[in-house]
Amino acid sequence: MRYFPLIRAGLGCRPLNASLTFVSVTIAFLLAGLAIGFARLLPGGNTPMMAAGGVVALGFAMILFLTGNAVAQTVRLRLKEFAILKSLGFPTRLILALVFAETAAACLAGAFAGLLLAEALAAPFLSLLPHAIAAPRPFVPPLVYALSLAAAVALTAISTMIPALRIARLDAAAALRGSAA
Amino acid sequence: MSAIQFCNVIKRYRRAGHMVSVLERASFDVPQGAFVALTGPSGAGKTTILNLAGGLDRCDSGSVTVAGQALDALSPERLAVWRSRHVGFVFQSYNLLPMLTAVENVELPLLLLPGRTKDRRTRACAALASVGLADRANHRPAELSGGQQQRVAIARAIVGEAPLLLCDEPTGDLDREAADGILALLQAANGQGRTIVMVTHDPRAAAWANQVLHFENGNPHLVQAPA
Repeated sequence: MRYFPLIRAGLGCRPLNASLTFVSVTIAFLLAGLAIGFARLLPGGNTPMMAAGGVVALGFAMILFLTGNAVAQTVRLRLKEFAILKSLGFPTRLILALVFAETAAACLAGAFAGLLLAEALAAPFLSLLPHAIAAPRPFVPPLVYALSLAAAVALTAISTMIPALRIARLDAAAALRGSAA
Repeated sequence: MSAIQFCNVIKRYRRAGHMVSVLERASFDVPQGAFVALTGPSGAGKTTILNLAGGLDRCDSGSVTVAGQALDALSPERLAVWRSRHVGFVFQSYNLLPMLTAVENVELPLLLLPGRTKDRRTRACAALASVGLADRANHRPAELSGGQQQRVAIARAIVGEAPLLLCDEPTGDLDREAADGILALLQAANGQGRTIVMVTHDPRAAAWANQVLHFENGNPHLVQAPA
């Protein structure tokens, strides 16, 4: 709670990037939720689930690229802000934790929004099939929710890794002069 | 006791592939409770002095000691903790965080100190009131004038009771009236026992200090001793 205003400010200062992360993660987890949910209903043992898993992994890789770019751009544009925090005595690890928390907020919110949307859209999609199938409740298995939490945290960790190096190496004096790389 | 002690400090920067010497065996003391103005031409090393004294930068050789603490002996993380308790910075361009309100900006250094949210807010409001901005607590920097933003920056620098204020051209972007208001606040902070080191190009601003160190060729010369 102590650092909440800073996290809120971090998300608010580049709303487009935060929104891009949220929307792209939402779409990825929506598709993942639908793919896994439908694969569960198909006959053929583990094969449909494995195919769905492959699609989800590909989506995860693509989303990693988008989120990583958004975080990198946000950090690049906010180097002076981080230099100000350093000049006030904020240790590097605390600044990194703030960036991680901002990214995690967008990723976790996006992941759960995507899965909830999959849950909501399952019944309308299933009704389009020639032989109507009743959507199981929950459509997305609870295990997938748990795995999605882990995936969103992993997505956050990987996408903040390179920007974190930049913050760790930030020369606060140079950034405040306006000559930081 | 010295608030700041520079001993044979050498600092060089790489510029366009060449090493440029900014400080060449600079040695000087700033006494505790002094209000010192650093003057000199651009590139003479004035801002470098502030960055070294505030632990934002490290010297190539020599030693920088602030309030008895040799800064070279501290790791970057311990230096950050030390800075949060001992130094307040005031910059020419204010350097407030644009998405935070005035009171949230002032509260920033207090986040690093123990204390409850309510107490932090009370202290931040008191610091804002002390610079005459109690009624602007919930305004963002973009909604404040340059002079008001600099007042917020001073409130942020003094709220944590840091005994040393390092000011880099604090009146550089202000008109004369606003500048005098800022200098009066710095003088008041000095009157409360804080040591103030202020970089300035303006002789009128330097006249508010009780000691002027003029930098030329990487070395300081005392041009105005304490009265």
